[in-house]
Amino acid sequence: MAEARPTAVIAGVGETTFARHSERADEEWIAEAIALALQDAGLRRNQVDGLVVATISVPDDSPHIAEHLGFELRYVMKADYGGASTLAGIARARAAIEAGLADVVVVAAGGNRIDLPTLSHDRRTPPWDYSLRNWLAPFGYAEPNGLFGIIQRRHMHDYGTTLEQLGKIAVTLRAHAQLNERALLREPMTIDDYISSRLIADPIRRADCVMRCAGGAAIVICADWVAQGLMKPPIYMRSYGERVNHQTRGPDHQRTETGFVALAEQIFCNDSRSDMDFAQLYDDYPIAVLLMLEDLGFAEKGKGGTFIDQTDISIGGGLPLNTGGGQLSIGQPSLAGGAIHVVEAVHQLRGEAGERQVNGASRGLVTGIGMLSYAGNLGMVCGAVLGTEAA
Amino acid sequence: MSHPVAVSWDKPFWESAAQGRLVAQQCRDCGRLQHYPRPACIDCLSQSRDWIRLSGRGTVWSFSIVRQVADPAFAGEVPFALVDVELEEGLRITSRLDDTSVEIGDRVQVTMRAIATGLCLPYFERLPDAL
Ligand SMILES: [Zn+2]
Repeated sequence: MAEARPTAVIAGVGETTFARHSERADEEWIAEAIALALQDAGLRRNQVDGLVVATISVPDDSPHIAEHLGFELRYVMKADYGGASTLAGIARARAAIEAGLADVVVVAAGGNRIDLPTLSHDRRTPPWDYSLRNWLAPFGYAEPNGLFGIIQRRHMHDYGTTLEQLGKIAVTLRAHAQLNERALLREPMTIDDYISSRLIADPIRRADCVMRCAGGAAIVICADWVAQGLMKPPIYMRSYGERVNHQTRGPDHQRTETGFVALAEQIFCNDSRSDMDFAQLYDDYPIAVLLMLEDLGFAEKGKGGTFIDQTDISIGGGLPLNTGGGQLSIGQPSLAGGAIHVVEAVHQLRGEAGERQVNGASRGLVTGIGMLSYAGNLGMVCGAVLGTEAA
Repeated sequence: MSHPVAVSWDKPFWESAAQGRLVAQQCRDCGRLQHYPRPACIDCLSQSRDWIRLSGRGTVWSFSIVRQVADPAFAGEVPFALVDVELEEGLRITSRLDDTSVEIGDRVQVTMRAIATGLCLPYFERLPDAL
């Protein structure tokens, strides 16, 4: 007789402190984050039978990374999708659990993007990906700063998007960070501060770019029957969708459009946009957030700037955005940058976000994005609605 | 400094570039034209291909003015424009243009520049308005 298939839930989250400087390497940060997430879940390490390592900077293969950390497992993989790694890794952990391949899977990310470039191949000199190595890096392409500069300039040209609109995103996130003691950037920022910040890849400014830091984060996913005995309430993934390499073959290569256009209905299959109590959108740049708001259908294409003008995106507003301050104000601890959005969403849904709690938050949107394709947009986009109840 | 490392499927590009010609892969089976060079046709996966000489002319689709680079080898070259050029043949190419007064829609022309490894990279320069 076939047993009922389990539903996978989020049972625990953990974040290390984040640091501007550190001597610790990626796997040390990842190990600490795993311990914290298991402690939060109330699960023991020997109950873990699956590991998803969300990294592109640890060059070791995933069974070796698991072995370094002493894990004996039924399931292991590396999620190497840039900023989309954590959320897409959670989706894979969920699928593995619901397929019976594992019962408790930890998705772990983190690293040290500041002080140990030689211990990881995170520093892209030389880059390991062919399209970067042969077709972008030889020009001194300034990494994502230069590429998002191309995208942002064209968006401003086509749609009249303004620096004030993009600045409102950065400024609001900074205000949220003032309520988050884990954030590394907490000094107040004004629109004038944003606009006058140093040009890096014009129109991209210093205040547009995430600050790299060191740190780790992990999320524990488990079968609902495992979660039943735990102290903290389970958090459900009410929907999930991802796209890889939209528009690679054209013919209309809209570099200002993300793969979320084709994904929005899948993400909002159980909930409407107006049901979202918050949105934790992957914010390596304000322009990326604005593109997502358009392509996810919160605004018409080209009207993302107007949407930002007309919407209160602060905590207590109509669409509270990146309530912990986002990566733009917390910092980007390597690929744990994608995990902090999930961690913040879980804290909000459990009602444990303290001063920055969104009243009665029961459903919220989380996104992950990664990889900028040659002359294109994002290589990997994913989104999920998380909630306190199953869909 | 990050240099291109030629691979089996892009060698003809670098050989042509060294002779001043900008070329692109064209699929013999379906006619697809593509840049950057790929291991197979992105439409039909055929590996049967010709290398077609492109006009080298196009328009600036967008650009950023790079003032700070992560790779210190390029630090002495800033500022420059990182450009997406829409070539006359419809292909999009990301490249560099040293004139930072460039605007979206400007007409540009490829110019090959030798780099330290002996390979040539396709840079762009603005065409006079009259052309
Ligand atoms: Zn073909």
